[in-house]
Amino acid sequence: MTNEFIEINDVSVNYEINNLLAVSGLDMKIKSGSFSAVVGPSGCGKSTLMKILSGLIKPTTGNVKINNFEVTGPQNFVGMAFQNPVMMPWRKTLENVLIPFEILKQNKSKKENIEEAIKLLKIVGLGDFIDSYPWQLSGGMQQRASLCRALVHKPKLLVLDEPFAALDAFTREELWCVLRDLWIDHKFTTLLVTHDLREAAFLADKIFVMSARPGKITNVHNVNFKHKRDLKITYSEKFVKLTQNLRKEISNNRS
Amino acid sequence: MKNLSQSQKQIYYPTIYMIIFFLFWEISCFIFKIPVYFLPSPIDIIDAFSEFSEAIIENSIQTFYTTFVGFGMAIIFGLMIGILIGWSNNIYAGLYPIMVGFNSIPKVAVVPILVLWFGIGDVPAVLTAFLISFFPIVVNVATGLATIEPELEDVLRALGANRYQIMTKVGIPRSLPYFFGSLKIAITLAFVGSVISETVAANSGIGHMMLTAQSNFEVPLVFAGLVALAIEGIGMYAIMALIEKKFTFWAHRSQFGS
Repeated sequence: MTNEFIEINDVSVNYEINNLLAVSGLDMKIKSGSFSAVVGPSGCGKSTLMKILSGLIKPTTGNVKINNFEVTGPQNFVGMAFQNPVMMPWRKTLENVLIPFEILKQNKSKKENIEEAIKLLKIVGLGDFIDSYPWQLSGGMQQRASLCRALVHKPKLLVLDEPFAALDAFTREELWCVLRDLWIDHKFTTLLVTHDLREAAFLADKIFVMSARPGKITNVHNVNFKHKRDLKITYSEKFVKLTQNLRKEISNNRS
Repeated sequence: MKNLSQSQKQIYYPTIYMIIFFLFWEISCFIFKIPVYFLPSPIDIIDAFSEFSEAIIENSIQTFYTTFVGFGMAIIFGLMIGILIGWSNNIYAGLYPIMVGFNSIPKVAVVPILVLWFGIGDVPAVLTAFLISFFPIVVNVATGLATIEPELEDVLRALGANRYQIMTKVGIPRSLPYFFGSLKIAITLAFVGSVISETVAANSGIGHMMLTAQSNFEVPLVFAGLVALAIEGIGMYAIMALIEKKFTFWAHRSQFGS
C-alpha cells in the first residue's frame, strides 16, 4: 500500500492506426488532493496521458493505478474538461451541467442534483444564465459551464486538457482564480495539462515536464508558493524564474 | 412595406410573386390566343376546379393518403436503417453499397413488379412513395451520426456511458437537424412516387385522374390536377419545415439570432 492517489508505472501507448508511439516509459506519482500540472512541447502526448487517466484509452504496456486499483475503463469518480467547452447545443446550460448525473447512477433525487448544479453555476458566475443555451454564452462563459459539468458529480479526480487555451488573457486569469477557489474549497486531486507555463506555475503544487514524442517525464518541479495564491505572485522574481526554467527545459526537450 | 415582420414578409412576398406569375400566364394566353387544349389559362383551370371539385377532392385525398402512408413507412424504416448504419462501421460498409444500388434503380421501373405482386390499387402507390422517399432519410440520419464530434462522445464516455446512452444523449439529438432536413426532401419525393404509380397502375388518385382527363381531352382538368398536387406538396413541405424549426432551432441559429 502506498499513499499515492495516482500511480502511472512505465506506461507506453502505441496508436495502432498510424503506428505512432505517443508516450513511452511514462512514470508519474500524484498524491491525493494535490494539484499537478503537465507541461511539454506540443505533440508530446499530453492528451494521451489524460485519456489514459480517464480510462478512455488503455496503455499498450505498463499500468495506471488510481487509489490502488488498476484503471481498465472509464471511472465514475473522474471529471474532465477539454480545450473546447463541448457543450450540447440542444440543451440549456443547466441541462448540460446535469449530464454526469444522467450517466452515473446515484442515489440522489433529481431536485438535489439540480440544486447542486445551480450552486456550482452560481459560484462560477453563471447564476443568471442557467436557462440560456450554450451558444448564447461567450467562450469564457461556456468554459465555466464546462468546468461545472466536470465538477458537478464531485469527482475525486479532475482532469483538465488545456481548458483555458482558447480564451483571451484576461478571461484566462479570471478562470484561474475560479479554479483555484474551487480547488481550495473541495481539494479534488487535479491534473492540468497545459501549454501555458504561467498557468502551471500559478495553479499547481507540482509541475511535470514532458519530453518530445514519445513523451516521458524529464523533470518534476515542486512549486512552493503559499495557497491561496494571488495573481500578483505571477510578477514576483521567484515566479518568473520558475517559468523561465520551465521554458528552457521544454525548448531543450524539443531539440 | 418596411414595417412588415419576418413572418408577414414570408406570406406577403410569395403572394405578390404568385399573382404576377398567374397574371402573366393569363395575359399571355389571351394575347397569343393559345388554344385551351394546349395550355389552358388560370381562369380555365379555376373553372375546371369548380366543375370537377368533387373528383379533384376525392382523388387528392386518395393521393394524400397513399403518399402519407408511404412517407410514414419511409420515416420509420429510414430512421431504423439510418441508426443501424450509423451505429456500426461494419453494418455501414456492408449495407451502404446495397442501398446505393437500390436507390439508383428508377422507381418507375419497379412499379410493374409491384403491380405483379400486389395488383392494381393502393399498395403499389404506397410502396413506390416509400421506396423513393426512404433513401434520403437513411443517408441523412447516417451522416448525422457519422459526423458527431468525437469530443462530444468523449465527454460521455469518460463518465462511463455505454453505446446506447451515447446514441440517445448525443447521437440522436445531434442528427435531428439532418433528419428533419431530409423529411422536406422525402415528402416531395413521396408525392412523385405515388403519382408515378397512379399514372401507371391505379383506379384512383390524382395521377389516375390526370391520365383519364388527358385521354378525354379535358386539358384544364389535367392542369387542375397539377395545381392540386402543388398545393398538397407545398402544404406538406410547410408542415415539415415547421416541425423542423420547432425541434432543431438550436441548429439554425444564424436566422434565429437575427
